[in-house]
Formats: sequence, C-alpha cells, structure tokens
Amino acid sequence: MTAVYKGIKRSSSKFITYAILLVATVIVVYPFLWTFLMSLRTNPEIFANPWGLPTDPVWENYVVAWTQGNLGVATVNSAIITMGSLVILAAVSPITAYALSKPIFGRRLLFYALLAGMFMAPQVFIIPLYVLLNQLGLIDTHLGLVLVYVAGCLPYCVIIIRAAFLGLPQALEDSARVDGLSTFQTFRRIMLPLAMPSVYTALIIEGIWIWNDFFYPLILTRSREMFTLPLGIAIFRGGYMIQYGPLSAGTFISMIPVVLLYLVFADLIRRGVAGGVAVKGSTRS
Amino acid sequence: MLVPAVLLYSLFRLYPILQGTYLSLFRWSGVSPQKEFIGYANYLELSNDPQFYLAFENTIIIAVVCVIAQLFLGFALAWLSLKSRSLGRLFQSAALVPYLTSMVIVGTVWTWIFDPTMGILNNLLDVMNLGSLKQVWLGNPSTALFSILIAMNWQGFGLYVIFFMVGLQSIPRYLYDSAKVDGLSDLRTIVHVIMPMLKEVIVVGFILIITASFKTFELVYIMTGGGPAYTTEVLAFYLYRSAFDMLKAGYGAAIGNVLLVVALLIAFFYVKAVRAKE
Repeated sequence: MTAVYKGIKRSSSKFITYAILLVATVIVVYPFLWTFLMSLRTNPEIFANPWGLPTDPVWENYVVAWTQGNLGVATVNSAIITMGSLVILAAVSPITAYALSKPIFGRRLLFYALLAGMFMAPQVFIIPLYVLLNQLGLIDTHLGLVLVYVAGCLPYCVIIIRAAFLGLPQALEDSARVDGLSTFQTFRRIMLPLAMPSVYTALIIEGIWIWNDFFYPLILTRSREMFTLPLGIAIFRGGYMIQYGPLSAGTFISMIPVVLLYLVFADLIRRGVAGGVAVKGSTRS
Repeated sequence: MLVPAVLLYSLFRLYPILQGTYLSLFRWSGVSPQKEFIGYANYLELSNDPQFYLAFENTIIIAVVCVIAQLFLGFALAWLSLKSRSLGRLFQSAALVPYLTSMVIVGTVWTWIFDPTMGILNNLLDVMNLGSLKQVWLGNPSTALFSILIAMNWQGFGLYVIFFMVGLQSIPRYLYDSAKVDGLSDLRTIVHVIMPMLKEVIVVGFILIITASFKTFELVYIMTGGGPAYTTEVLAFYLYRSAFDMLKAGYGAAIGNVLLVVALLIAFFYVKAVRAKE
C-alpha cells in the first residue's frame, strides 16, 4: 500500500465522518428551526410551502399563543410549580442524602424504596394518587402538583447527592468532630458546601423534567387556570382548527427557559444526565 | 433528619403504589363511592384481553427497537464525534437538546413532520424522487408505530451519545495507541479493546432505555391516540384509557401492577448489575 493511497483513504474516511456528523446535526436541529420559522408564518403560507421562510414575519403569533392560547397563564403555572418543587427539594434532599450516606437504621430499606420508585412509570400509581389528592382537596391546585413532584424527584436527587457525599474523604468529618461540631453542624458547614455542585446538578435536571412534564398535570388538574405549559400546548393543539403559527410560537416559548439553562449550564447538565454512568457505587448501602 | 423526605415519599409514592395493588382487586368506576370486591377477576380478564396483549407486544417492540437503535446511534456517533473534534463538539451539544425537550413538543413537531399535507417528510421524499414511499405516516396501521419510534429515538438517542462519550473518554489513551501499533483495524479495536471497557455504560444504558420504553405515553397520546386500529397501543396508554376513559379504575390498577412488576424487575437487575461491578 503506497503512502499516497493511504493518504487518500484517511482523508476519505475523514470526509465520511464529517458528512455523517453534519447530517446527524441537521436531523437534530432542523425540526426546531422549522418550528421557529413556522411560528412567524400564516397557515396559508405554511400549506403553500412547508419549507418556506417567513416573508413578512407574523410576530402576532406569539401574542395569540400567549393570550388566546392561554399559554401566558400556563407559563406562570409552570414557573410556580417548578420553582415551588425545587425549593422544597433543595431543603429536603441534601439532608436526606447525607443521612443515607451514614450507617443508620433502616437506610437500606429506604434506599431500595427510592430506587424502585425511580424506575416506575407514573401510570402505575396514578389512580390511587388521584384518589388521595382528591381526598386531600389538592386536585387542581399548585400545592398538589408540587407535592407530587417532590415525591417523584426525591429518588434521583438523593441518589446523585448521596454519591457526592460518599465521594468526600472521611477525614474531613473526623476533624470536624474533633473541633466539636455537632452532626448537623458538620453537615451544614463542612460537608454540604463541598457537595453543592451535585445539588445544583440534581435540581437543574429535575427542574427541566418538571417543566416538561405532561402526565401529572393531565390527570391532576381540571381547569384552564391551572394548566401547565405542556398541557396548555396539548389542549391548544386539540382546538377546532390547528393554527400552526401560534402553536409553533407557544412551543418555542415553552422551550426558551430550558434552552437558556442549557446554554449557561451545558457542562453541569451533561454531567447530570450522565449521572447514571458517572455515579459509581450508587447502590452501595 | 429523614422525617420530611420519608413522610412525603411514603404518602405520595409508596402509599399509592400499595393502594394500587389493593384497588386491582375491585370492580370500581373510579368515581362512584361503591367498590365491589371481585378478587383476582381483573387479572383473569386481563389474561383474556386481546388489547392488553397488543399493548404489551407493542411495548416490547418499542423496548427492543429503542435499545438497539439508541445504543448503536449513541456509540457510533460518540465514536465519530471523538474523531473530528470541532464538528463533534457541535453535534454532541445539539444532540442533547431533543432529550431536554418536552415530549409534548416532540410529539407535536413530529406529528407535523409526518403530516401528509403540510409535513416535510413526504415533501422531502418528493424532492428526492422517492414519491412512491410517501405515506399517511400516522394514519396507516403499518407505519404508525414505526413513525412513533422515529420520534422517540430522535428524542432519546442524544443521552446515549453523552453516555458513550463519557465512557470512551475514560478509556486510557495508551489502549488506543497500542491497538494502533498492533495494527488493529478500527472495527477490531472497537470489538476487542473498546467494547469490553464500555460494559458499564451499555448495561446502564440498556436499563434506562427499557425503563423509558415502559413509560411510553406522551408520544402515543399526542401523535396517534393509540390508533389506527390500536396498532400504537402501549401499556401505559391502555391503563390511562381503561381508568380515565372507560372508567374501569380497578382494571387500570391491575394493568398498573403489571408495570409495577416490570419496574421491580428492572430495579433488581440494576442493583445486581452495579453490585457485580464493584
């Protein structure tokens, strides 16, 4: 095999690599771009040529989505529910994770209970959950959804944060003890600050998940005033005639916070979603 | 310290799960105050219900296709991304965006792509002179499930690109180099050197994809409603229809218990797999 031939072979394999990656990137990105372009067009324009560019951008589509499509209200609801859930998760999960990293009574049982819950489709328990929330008067309320999300997100948060605690050197804790700190002080002043990156990671990932979730609001809310964004979009879409422009606009609106988060915290999010592989020893109990 | 978490988790997760097992022994509309105890009759009905088998079969098909497609795409594209850094980085960042997008949006956008009048897929086929392949993608019983699988894998594969990137980058450099020195081809390097090192990634990926497959609901709800002719019916969606459309809450709870058993098996497998590694 001559050197020239080898060179050609190498550059052609390089070309194929580039081509495949380029096509894959286009396939991933184009549907979003297409939706954005449609959000600035009218129905007749779209039907005439689905690939076309907006000739005279219809920004009103965003106004229509926000008001007529009820997505303004839905955005506020999604924000309240997501933030509310995250505040409670931030308060509850680090300390739970810390406790579960210590050899305390019942931790093995609780840990497995959390793990089993993580693999479960929400449909498994949605009927009794609906009945329960109904009895508590929490159907169609923000609080009801918040409590359900906190319970649902606990397993992932606890497992991720616990792994961070387990990764910290034991000597840190021992020296805190020698300095006369109580268990809680050790947690609060020494260990938690060091485990903070895992807390942010868990909260961002779960925040995105809650923001995007469709199934719980579908079952646990009733009135237009309580709809979250994904539910609002699904309902808006189910209307008499599909208004592609405003619907695309709504879709785009609902994606903005997630995309912004991703642009700012790309590495954190990537590490968070890779948690499944990165968290070694996550089941050590 | 554990009280708030245990309380919340028990009340809103564990209690409903147990209650579901109990409810599956009743004939109950879900709304009326009357519940009639019927023992295991719901399960008997389930075992004779062709729609349940159809839903189960479709769920299994989804799981198998998604495992193969997403692990393959994840590995292949992570491998290629590492070979060409600049474009690879761009692709890798983009690939995760669908994964971070709500299923409602994924379902809506792909419904449009598959739409026979305004959709771009049929249009694209025309442009490529492949007009004979044009379909009413979501309305045709032989292509509906396939179409949903396209949307599903488009949404999910990016996660496994990241997984395999993490895995590939953790393999020590000298292993690649010594494979090259030994004159191994790319394919041989992959099979004999790389794959054994990625066992953990593959196992965790496998488990997560199976889990996600059994949770399939939103895309079916948005794109096809389980049709046409129940060809896209899946377990979670059939449960939803049984309980909330047909008002057979007890029956729905019985389907829920089938999903429960699957989830417990997966959790057991996960613990075993991660343990075995340690």
